[in-house]
Amino acid sequence: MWRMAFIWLCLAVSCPLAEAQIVSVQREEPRPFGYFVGDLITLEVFVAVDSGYLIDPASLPKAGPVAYWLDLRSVSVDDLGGNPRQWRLRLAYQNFYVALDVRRMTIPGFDLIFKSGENSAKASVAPWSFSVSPLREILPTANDPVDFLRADIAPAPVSLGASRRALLILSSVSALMLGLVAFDRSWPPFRRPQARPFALAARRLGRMRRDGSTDQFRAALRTMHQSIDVAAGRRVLAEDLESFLAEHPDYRAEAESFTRFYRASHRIFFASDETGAERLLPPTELVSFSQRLAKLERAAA
Amino acid sequence: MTAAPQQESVPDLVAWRKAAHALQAEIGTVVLGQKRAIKFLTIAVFARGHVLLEGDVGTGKTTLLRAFARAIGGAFERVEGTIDLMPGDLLYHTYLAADGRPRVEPGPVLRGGEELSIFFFNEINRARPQVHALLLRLMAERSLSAFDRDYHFPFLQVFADRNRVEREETFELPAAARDRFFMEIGIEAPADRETRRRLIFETRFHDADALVGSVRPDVVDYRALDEVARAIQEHVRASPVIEDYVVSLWQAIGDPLSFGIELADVDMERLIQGGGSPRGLSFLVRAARVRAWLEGRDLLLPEDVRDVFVETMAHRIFLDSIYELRREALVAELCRRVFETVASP
Repeated sequence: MWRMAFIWLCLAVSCPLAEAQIVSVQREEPRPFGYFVGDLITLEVFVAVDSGYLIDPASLPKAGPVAYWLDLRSVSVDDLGGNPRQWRLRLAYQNFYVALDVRRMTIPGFDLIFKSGENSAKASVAPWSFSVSPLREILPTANDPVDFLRADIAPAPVSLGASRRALLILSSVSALMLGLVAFDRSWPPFRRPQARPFALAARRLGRMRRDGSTDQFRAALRTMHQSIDVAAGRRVLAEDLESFLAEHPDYRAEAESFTRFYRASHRIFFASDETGAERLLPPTELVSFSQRLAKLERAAA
Repeated sequence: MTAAPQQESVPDLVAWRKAAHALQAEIGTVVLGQKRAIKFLTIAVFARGHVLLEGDVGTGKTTLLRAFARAIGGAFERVEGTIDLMPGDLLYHTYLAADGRPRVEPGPVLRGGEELSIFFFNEINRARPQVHALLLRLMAERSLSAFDRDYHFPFLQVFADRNRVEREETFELPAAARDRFFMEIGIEAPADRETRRRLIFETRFHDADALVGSVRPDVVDYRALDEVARAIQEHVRASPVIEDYVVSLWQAIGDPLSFGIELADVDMERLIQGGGSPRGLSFLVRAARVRAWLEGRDLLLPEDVRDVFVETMAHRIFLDSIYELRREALVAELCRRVFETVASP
């Protein structure tokens, strides 16, 4: 491949003393032809100077538009060391000239200043010319400008594997969470069988073997109290009976039995009057009371 | 003491119950919409307990107490709590006589002599702790030392009130003083529209003096109250079951967690600093017995205990200081939960 050329440049130096400080200015160039609009051109300039001289950053060309058709995209300076000291300047240009025929263009030259204390030296970089070529013929052969357009690139299929996996994992986690919430809140299908305190009490009272002892009667009354408390969700005292029946109107039919039950309970628990209690509410009646309540409870459910 | 003379001196409790209901009805004609407070004051009167009324300004606390004082009869004295009130001001009245010489005469407490039946301390939380200390003895022992001798007040009942709106220039009652009050009754303005309308527009409620003056005096005889109170306590029976129940209640108040009681946003381990004293619990049962008697029973029921519980116990429950500001709501909720949880029979 066509590659490099070395050009010696004469140095036009104002100060005769400084002339001796610049040892050499070399440029490494790309091919000088065959460029199209938008192409990048990289020039490298090597300057050898006496040691002690440092490049003056202010003298470097500024990145930005150079001419209406030319941009300087970047400038970098490297100190390569050695004796005499080598400096490398790398300049990246971009050509925006839209040529209609093959045409020679010139990148302007510039001066670099090196300084050592009060002394300064100037190294001039000469202009560089190259030829640009057109991309298409001047008179289009096709009638329809659309014909110049190339076909669209067919869209490449995007892999959905990761999303599909994430969807699968997240939806199974959500389903699990929903299941846990349903379990916690007793939503279907986790609905627990409704508590039926009166049915439980009726079963327990039915199971009690009737030995006629007062302890058993006390236990039976306690069981009944507990079932009423469970049904109400709080402790129900005789004075609360009205509010309990208002909250649970299904049992209102048994209001009279409730009152009798509480009176019997008062007699036995708070007046220690067992016979009076049994007279008020015989044990058999207590059992049938609990069964009637269980029936009402079933009907209400 | 033998049984026979006691039998002779037993007052007719049925007649006394009628008198108690008459007392409530009489007060009810001048103090509207405070049925519950009137009931509790009646309970306190028949349990011979001192009462602290607490409530907003202008809800009729003072009128209520004055009406009671008039209906009960006996000597009545009142004192306004102020920041510069000193214990001596309750006992002695010092002044310059017409002849220019200083004189010391009996002060408000001693003026009525030993017949003093109601001592009314208005705005008690404005008085200093020294005054509270004097009151402590007066309430607990019904006696005082002054003029180099002891005074006894066998019929004395202390009524006090404090408004709960102001906190500036007030002295919180020490726990010991609060514990000596038999009841602490909260007074709210009546919520019923009709009662409110009457209180606002009926002119007879505008003049508190005339209103109190319209109460029939001496509906009950204050000299007999001690005896009646004793008889009531003996008359109303408490079964072992109810005794168990009250002990469980005390335990539940002191250690709610052991009964599985938890309140929202409250660290239950820290909440309770003191959950009622033995004196408090004995007051509770005393009040409950009077309530049972007023209901026409000779049996103590859980309902009686529950009805008087907040008024006799709430001010004896001491909370951790960080919960003290929410005291009213927390204690009410705690009591409610305790009664929902502790099984009665």
